[in-house]
Amino acid sequence: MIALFISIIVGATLIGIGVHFIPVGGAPAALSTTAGIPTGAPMITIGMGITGILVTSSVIGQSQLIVLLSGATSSMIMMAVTMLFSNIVHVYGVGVPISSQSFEKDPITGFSQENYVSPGTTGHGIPTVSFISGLFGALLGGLGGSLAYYSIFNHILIHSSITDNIGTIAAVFAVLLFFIIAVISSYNIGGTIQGFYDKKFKTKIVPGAISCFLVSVVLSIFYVIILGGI
Amino acid sequence: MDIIFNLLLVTVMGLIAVIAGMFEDLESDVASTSNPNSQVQLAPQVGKLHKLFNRAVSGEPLLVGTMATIAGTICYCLLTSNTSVIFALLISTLIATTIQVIFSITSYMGRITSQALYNQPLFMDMLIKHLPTMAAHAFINLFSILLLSYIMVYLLNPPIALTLPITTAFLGIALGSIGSAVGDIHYGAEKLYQTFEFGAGISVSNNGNITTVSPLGSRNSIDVVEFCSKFAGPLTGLCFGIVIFLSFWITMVFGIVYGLIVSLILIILLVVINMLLERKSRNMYGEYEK
Amino acid sequence: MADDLIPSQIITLISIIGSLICIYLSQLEFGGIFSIIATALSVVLGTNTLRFIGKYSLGTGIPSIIYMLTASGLISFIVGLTFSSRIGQPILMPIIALLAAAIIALIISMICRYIFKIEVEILTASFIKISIASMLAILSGSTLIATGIDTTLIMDSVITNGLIIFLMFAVVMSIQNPYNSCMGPNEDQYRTLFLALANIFLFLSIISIISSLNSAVWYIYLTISIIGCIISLYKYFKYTKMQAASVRWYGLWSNNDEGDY
Repeated sequence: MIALFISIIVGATLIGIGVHFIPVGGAPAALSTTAGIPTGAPMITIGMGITGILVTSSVIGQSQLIVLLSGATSSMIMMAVTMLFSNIVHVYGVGVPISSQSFEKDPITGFSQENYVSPGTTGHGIPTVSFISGLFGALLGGLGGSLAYYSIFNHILIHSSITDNIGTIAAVFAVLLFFIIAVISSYNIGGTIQGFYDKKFKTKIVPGAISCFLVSVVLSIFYVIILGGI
Repeated sequence: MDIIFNLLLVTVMGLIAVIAGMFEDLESDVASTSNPNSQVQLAPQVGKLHKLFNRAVSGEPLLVGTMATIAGTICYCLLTSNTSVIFALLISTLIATTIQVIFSITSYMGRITSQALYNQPLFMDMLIKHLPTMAAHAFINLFSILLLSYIMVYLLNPPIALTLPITTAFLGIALGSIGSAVGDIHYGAEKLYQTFEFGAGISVSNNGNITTVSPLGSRNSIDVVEFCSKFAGPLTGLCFGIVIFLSFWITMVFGIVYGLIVSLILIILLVVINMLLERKSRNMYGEYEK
Repeated sequence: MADDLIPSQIITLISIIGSLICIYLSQLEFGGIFSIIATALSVVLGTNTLRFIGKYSLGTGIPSIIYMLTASGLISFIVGLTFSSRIGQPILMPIIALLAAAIIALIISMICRYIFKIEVEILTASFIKISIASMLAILSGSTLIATGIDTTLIMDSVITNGLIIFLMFAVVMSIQNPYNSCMGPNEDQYRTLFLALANIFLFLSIISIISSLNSAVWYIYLTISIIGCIISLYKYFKYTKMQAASVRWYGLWSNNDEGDY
């Protein structure tokens, strides 16, 4: 029971921290007005986490490390493909170079940003440093989601009388974590963020991590009540 | 023999996912669902009355997720009570499509009526013109998601450890978030603002100033679909297809442990491709003049 | 926004008490009718509360408020289900779930106010109300599928086979959609609430079809839901046509001052 309690707290907190790493632009990014993924932070997080859980559920019989890593890598693949295609539409469909005004120079590629941002906007697309930040967010989110899924699955398998559809119950509980934690993190972000190299990131990550930890403690208490009585 | 059957199934899944993704994005264009719709809603406020479809049911992931879950739930109940598979798939998709149509009607009427202050008229002929197109796209999209989930739950070996309603919900949400992250840019940044120069983001001062007329008369959302089906729609489909295909193909071909290594290599490859794309875009378009 | 014709306090009171009574009455024969009433009442409470909190921008879209709070409502519903059967008092299930929903929503709103510094006065009350409303809606939908509030039956026929995710989406959609689609300067309470009723009756007709797995009289529930849906849609269309700037069946928008057309 203690193991379940701790792993749900760790999983949910990882999801919450992961959300902060994902570069989101919200509705303005769909108009190439800001950089980032053009959808809300909770939506892309839930989509990414769900892909992880979907793949996790097909390898659930394996050892813990392999299950966690498969969830994380499939979340990362989903995120990488989505961001790459988003950039392709930006470049060939809208005709804008990929750049962001929230930092002066990309530390990985060394591209300067300012002159490539079209007038009246704050950037378009997902530059390489934000791309890698998004992958890191997907790693944390996928790891957290599959950790929660795995621990709930194993708890039900060992301690309860239910034999059918254990995967389904575990998946519902794991997804509910995403639904709650991702929205709370996005309230903390409050609009757009461009990953860990953004100036905004430093001020947002500490309160975000604390609040996600607090919420995950509350949720784990409720989950332990549920799974203890199931 | 088993592995060949599985590989065949995964390939078919990838193909169905391409179709699902493509039609999901085009459906969101014809009925103007996701983030770009904020501009259509803003237009009457800046004096641009329009005849574009304007539907704010919810975000795209939630809408597709809900409709796919309805289809999956009804299909699950029909399969539990021993209905034949083809009939179950078809009837459940039909019911889900009907519900999506009703939601589109009420949402279109709702937002336009709330904008009565700006004299935006409620065009009833818009409903007659757009709903069949929307319903056709939605039907293909929902049927593909349902078929995909059916293959995952009942045919794949080993199947995924989830029931049909959950699988459809998951695929619907994942597809919705991909559709809104990939396809909508073409609609929002290019088609809605077609009168502005190609090759620039939309400045904040221009927000709401969308193109509302076509060469002949008013622009409608069916023009939008025609435009988006040339680039953004197929690309969204390809994106979702690749995600679904890779998720299952890697573990199937390379085994679970080696699959992890292959996935990591693939992710690094994608980062490199993105870096090359970024460099190419900069060389191709150059700097902006002040 | 026009002045409200029904005060929100009255809606809150009637919805919570009415839903609770109807949920207990769903044990009776043809109790599904009470489940339908309870679901509709709680969805009206949720939408009416969202009409107030939705005006503040909390950092991300309106649907996100609802699916976060519905997720906590769903967790508290399952807490009520398992905890009540564990202490041997299954009859207390709705009350325990209600308390759990209030506690989760209270903690989330406290975090929003004191860590994120979101200065909205009605935040706490609204979050608690929406969380309770979504919990009651999911609970009454489950009683319709499981024909009663028997905990083991609900567990088997709703939760373990994954139908619960459909109930959750149905509740999210029918609470957030009316406000999201009717938002704007000309938003009106009657129009929004009738759309909420139309949505939940639409989903209730699907839930009635699902209840054919357990209930023999599912077609009665289906008929009631469809009739309810048609009546509310009719009312909604009536208010829409009354409140729109103008309704046109052909042509373009009228000549505006700039003389474009």
